[in-house]
Amino acid sequence: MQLHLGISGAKTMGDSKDFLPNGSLRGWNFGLMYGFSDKISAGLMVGFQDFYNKTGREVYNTENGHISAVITHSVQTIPIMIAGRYSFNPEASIRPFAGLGIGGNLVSFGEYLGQFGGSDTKIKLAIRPEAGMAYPFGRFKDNAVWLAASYSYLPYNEFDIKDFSQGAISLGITLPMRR
Amino acid sequence: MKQLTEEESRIYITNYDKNADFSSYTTFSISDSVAVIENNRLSGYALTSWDAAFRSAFIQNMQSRGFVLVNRNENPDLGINLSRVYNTYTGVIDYSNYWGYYYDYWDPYYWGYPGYNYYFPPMYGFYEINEGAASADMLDLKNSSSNNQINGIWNALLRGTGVFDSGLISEQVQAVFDQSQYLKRN
Repeated sequence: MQLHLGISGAKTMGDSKDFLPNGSLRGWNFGLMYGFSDKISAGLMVGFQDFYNKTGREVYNTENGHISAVITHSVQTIPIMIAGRYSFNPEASIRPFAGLGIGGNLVSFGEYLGQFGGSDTKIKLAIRPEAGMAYPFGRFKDNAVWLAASYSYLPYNEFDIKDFSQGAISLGITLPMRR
Repeated sequence: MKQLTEEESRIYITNYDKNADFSSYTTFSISDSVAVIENNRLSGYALTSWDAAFRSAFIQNMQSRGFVLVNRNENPDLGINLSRVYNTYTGVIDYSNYWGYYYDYWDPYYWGYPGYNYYFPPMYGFYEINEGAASADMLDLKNSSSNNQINGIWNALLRGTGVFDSGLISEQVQAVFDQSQYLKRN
């Protein structure tokens, strides 16, 4: 059994980038993976990414007039997935790998005009392919630091928002839980 | 909401009757005090320093748009009612309640039209209030005699932290006029 811990930076890539144009460095991921062989491991992966954006004050047209407001959006995505990783060359000093996770995405979407508004939480689909490299270290080479790039397909389809899909770079560490 | 300054927390909402021709009005009058409305009930009229600043800011902006201030017994074309609205319910309260009780806050008698009714288009009734707000309602007195009805033709609502700061109210009223460029005599 392996423990995966990582931090991540992400940027929205779907239509949500219109109101969340800035990337987020407020992310982490956590996983428990079982090594079926030296090439294949699988288990549970949980991620978190926090996005926030605030516009300057603007006047918006309404049906019967105008509203002047600073609009903020706050989005947190928490994908909880069954995930697997495949190591292409488990004997190399730097080991490339690819992975795939499929599961649910607990997503909280908040929209505020000034201090007024609210948030809504839903569970949606999450699919995340990833690719990266691991650098094993330690006496038995069973610890590793890894760097991965991923694309999370996170459909939403609420409030005229199709998705919160995002690309991410993660840096993490893998620790054995038993030998 | 996190990461907001007091200024950023505030919103300014204006609605107007798109059929109204604001250039057809010349004179206006404004209530001599501010109605204090709590939980949809009139608790009284007041003229605190904030109320006076609120009222003064409206006079100044109306005059800058070419309207002439007259006393309310001089048959003004427009009447402006000012209100402070507080709701202490824990739930969400629809702003339409405010209009539903409007006769209780501002009796048409005040404007010299006893027995008249108010009419505010449905557009005014979709707000939710869960804290204090400042409200200004513009009434078409000039055309009120035709059907014993006083129509509301413009409304401004100011909400958020610092709305009731006397030092800030002038710029807030300025903001609602800035976003209402159609509101002018010429």
